[in-house]
Amino acid sequence: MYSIGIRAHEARLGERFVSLQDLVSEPARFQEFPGAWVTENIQSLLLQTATDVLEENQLSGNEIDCLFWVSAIPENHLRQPQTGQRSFLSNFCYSGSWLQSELGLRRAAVIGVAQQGCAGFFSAIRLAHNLIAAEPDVNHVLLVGGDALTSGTSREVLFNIVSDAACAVIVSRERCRYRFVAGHQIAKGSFWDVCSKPGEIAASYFPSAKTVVQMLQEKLGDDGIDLVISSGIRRSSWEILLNLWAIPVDRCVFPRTSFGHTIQADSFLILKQAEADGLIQPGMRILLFTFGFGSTWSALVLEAI
Amino acid sequence: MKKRLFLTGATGNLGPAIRSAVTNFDTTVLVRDPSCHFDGVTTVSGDLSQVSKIGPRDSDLILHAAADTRFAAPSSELWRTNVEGVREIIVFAQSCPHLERLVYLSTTCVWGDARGRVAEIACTTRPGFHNEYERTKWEAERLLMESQLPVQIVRIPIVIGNETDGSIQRNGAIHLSLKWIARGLLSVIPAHPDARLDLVSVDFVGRGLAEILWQSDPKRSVIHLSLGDHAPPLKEVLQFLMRWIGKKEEPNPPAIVDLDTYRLFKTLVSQTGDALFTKIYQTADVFLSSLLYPKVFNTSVAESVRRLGWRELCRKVFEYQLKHEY
Repeated sequence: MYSIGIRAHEARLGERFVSLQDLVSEPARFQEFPGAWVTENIQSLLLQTATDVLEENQLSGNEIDCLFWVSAIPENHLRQPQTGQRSFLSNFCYSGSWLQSELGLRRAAVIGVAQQGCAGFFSAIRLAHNLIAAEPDVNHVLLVGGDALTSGTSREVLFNIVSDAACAVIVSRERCRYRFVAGHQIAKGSFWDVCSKPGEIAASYFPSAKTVVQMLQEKLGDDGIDLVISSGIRRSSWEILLNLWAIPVDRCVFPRTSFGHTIQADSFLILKQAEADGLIQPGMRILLFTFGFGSTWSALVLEAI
Repeated sequence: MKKRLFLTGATGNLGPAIRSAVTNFDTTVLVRDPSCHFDGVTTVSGDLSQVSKIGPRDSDLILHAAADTRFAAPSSELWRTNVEGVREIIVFAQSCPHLERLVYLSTTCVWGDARGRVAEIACTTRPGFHNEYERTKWEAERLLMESQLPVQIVRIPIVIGNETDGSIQRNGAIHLSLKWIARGLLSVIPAHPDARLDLVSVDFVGRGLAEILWQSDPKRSVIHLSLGDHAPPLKEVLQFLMRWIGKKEEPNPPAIVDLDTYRLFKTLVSQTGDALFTKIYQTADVFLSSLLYPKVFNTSVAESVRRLGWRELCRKVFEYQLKHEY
């Protein structure tokens, strides 16, 4: 049996809190969200989070074989050139390469994961798992992902409030805390034009979420789900999802304090909370689910070791 | 000599089919518009509240098909047409010395939230209702059953379109629901896993009424003019619709959910205040929620009435709706 999985994970919200009253015109519609966490510099937050996860696990930069840079927002895949001047070549000033340099990951290959919306990190975990499984020389993959909305952008997205956050995960061949059991993804390219089909996308959210987890459960056979890690979206949405998946609501970990939806980091912010609360027991099968504009429905099952 | 028949509801959704069912009678039709005329029948203009004054008292048969079938109409309007209208018909019928039979076109919806197999009998115990339309039709049946008149109640299920081109005079809740599904905007359908969709054509109702008026045993006081055991499961109709939509674009089938999940969903829609989904689920409330209570209607006369297969009928209706409504 493969033991490839998640060795370590870290997630951080933006440094500054903005109250709901200062974010939206109709706060009454978003009562369960106290506000949003905002950062002025997402790349700095990502660097900090990645540094933390490496240091806490006593892994040196030289031990990382591959770096995945994950972001939903296209601009976040690029850095401003140090010259400050835009040119054709500035299109190649990649954020992932900058991070590799900052962290000293000299042996690492660098790969960007994009066009997955909020499901990018889940795809990166699957890809990292499969890379390690396929290539005997690859032992550690560092995944770093996060997004921040630019100043002035509405933080009300699909009936939720969006916070900024960063997330870093090490997927390894050994010494893992969570074994990767299975993953499944449904992509609906017909929803590529997010601007013109918001109603259709919202309507498709629950049926597709039901299907993606059903298909994952088929892969798992009779083994059930012991714990569900929710996300930062509305709790009532999660209660519907749990009903659709026929999973009791008491098996789901909800955020103690709602931080809103962070594009990449929700699941790992809440997984951290579940660990701190002693909810994770060896052998538990843990379901993670997310949706990303574009549109992608993605679910993972991890087994606590 | 032809029997004399007094007919209401000849201009509604089922008008053409009902008129074709009464061609062998000496028929007088109630019409609201004085300029309205049909070949081979006499018209009398007025509304339901005037029937006892203007209806022909030499009638041998009455076919009362006029109704307000809008599920979401104001209660007072539904009550006026569907209950007070029947009260007036009863007064009129009591004044007809030769009356052999009063045939009342009702709906299988009178069974509300009852479940399981439904016999062709009076619905004497008041069920829970999903909308005011159901309540008023049940009340009308109760008045008729208590009237001591020779009443025959003919209950029909959802009438979805005609067999020629799938069209219908006025779209109902089913058509609105199909539109939301076809546009990929219906996220969930509250329904029991065993729910069936008893869908009939306008023509089927016409053929059935013709048989009932001429050949059926008048002693049978309640008839279900429905598909009964032939009604397709909701899941099959949805799959058929999705395959059909899938020829043109990627379908987005709704999830079939139980009542608890549906309530959670409505709470979410209410929390978000989204205008589109609020509108969509107002429709779902008055119509689709009935699918939580699966029923199979026993049928007798309907078994001998020719019917188009549901797939063929649905295909025509979907094609018509896509071309003209969606």
